[in-house]
Amino acid sequence: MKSFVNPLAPRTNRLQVKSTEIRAWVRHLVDLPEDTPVSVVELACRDEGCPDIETVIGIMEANKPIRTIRVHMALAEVTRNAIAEAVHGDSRPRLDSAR
Amino acid sequence: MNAINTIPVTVLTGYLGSGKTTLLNRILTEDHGKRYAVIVNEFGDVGIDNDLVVDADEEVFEMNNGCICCTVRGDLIRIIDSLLKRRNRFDAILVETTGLADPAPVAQTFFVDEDVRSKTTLDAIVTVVDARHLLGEIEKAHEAQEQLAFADIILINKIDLVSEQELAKVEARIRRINPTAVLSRSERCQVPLDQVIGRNAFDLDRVLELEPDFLEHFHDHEHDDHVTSFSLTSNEPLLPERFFPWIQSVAQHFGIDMLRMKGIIAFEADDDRYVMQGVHMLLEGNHQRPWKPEEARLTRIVFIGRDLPRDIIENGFRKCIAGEEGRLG
Repeated sequence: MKSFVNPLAPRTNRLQVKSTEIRAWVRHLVDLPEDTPVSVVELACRDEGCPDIETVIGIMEANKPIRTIRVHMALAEVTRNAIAEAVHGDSRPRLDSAR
Repeated sequence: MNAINTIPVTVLTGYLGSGKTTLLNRILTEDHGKRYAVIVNEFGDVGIDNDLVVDADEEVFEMNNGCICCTVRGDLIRIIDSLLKRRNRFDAILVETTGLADPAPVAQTFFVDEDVRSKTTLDAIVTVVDARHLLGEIEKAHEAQEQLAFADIILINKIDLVSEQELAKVEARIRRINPTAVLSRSERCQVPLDQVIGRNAFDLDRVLELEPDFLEHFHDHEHDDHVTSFSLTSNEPLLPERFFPWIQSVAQHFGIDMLRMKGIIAFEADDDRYVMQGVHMLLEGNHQRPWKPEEARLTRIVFIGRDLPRDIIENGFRKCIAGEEGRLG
């Protein structure tokens, strides 16, 4: 009998479909070639001061530092508009070169 | 925890001069029926010219302000993305790290990047050590201790250069740091390759299927190492509503120093064994199989880390035991 929700359950590949979708949105919004690797990561960093959950997208163009897009929502909830806002929003705060 | 049709990945670590490249060259040149794509740190050391041998440049991808738990290897993501476009040309991937590499970002790459995670499976972290020099190096070299701490399989190499007595000291020293890794011995890395590759040794579920008592051959050690290990046990079942907040709190507060954690949990009113493991802040766990009628429902968690505060962690653990009074630590 399993009478509790398992918070440590391995993630399912359901998120793979979503991350493929996110990569396609990013490629379109940032105008990337199809062969540029785009890394999609859901982070639940428990450090103080960090958001509870966020999706970090790494753009890995050849011979360039990794650029990151941060969307402060779970991977499953990321929308094309949220990425567009992070990339092209007025303040343009979240498209930075990673160190 | 294993997905079907994923590419197995073996991570090869080892301190400088341990014989890691010798093992790599054996894997690349011997006829064992498997084709490997290899990610190496020095092209020149590998005695084979092949477009599936790719040079890594240790590009670190810090996703969150330098937090080690949120750091992966960008070069691996780039290379694996490229290799997977040719996935019909190889059966498995080998990643060789430099002698001074931190294994954590390498291991984490296979768990946090969605694409890598869904297409690959970490088969094992294999660490090669030099039997002759380990005892002299290990006190000074934190990297060497951490490579041992992360390992699922440890190959003690160059055993022809030490006596049986010295070898026993080396093994005891390794056990003080990592009580759960599988140890093998070799001269010039001449070990049957099926002892180090294709073992599925990272997957605790799989290891426990083959060796149900895996976490039971463990004895605590008191010592002054940079990396230490200890286990917590309980014959009484744990309460999930206390346990999960507690273990997540441990990961939150001590994750930076918690290198590996493995455990079997017996929960109250739960007929299945719960198996979990962690690397830094990354925790994963699931029900494995029903407890057998003759099996003692013993909870055991092994922590391997840097200066972990055992008393604080143990105090919190005790409060997760059914019938124990007290608030969460």
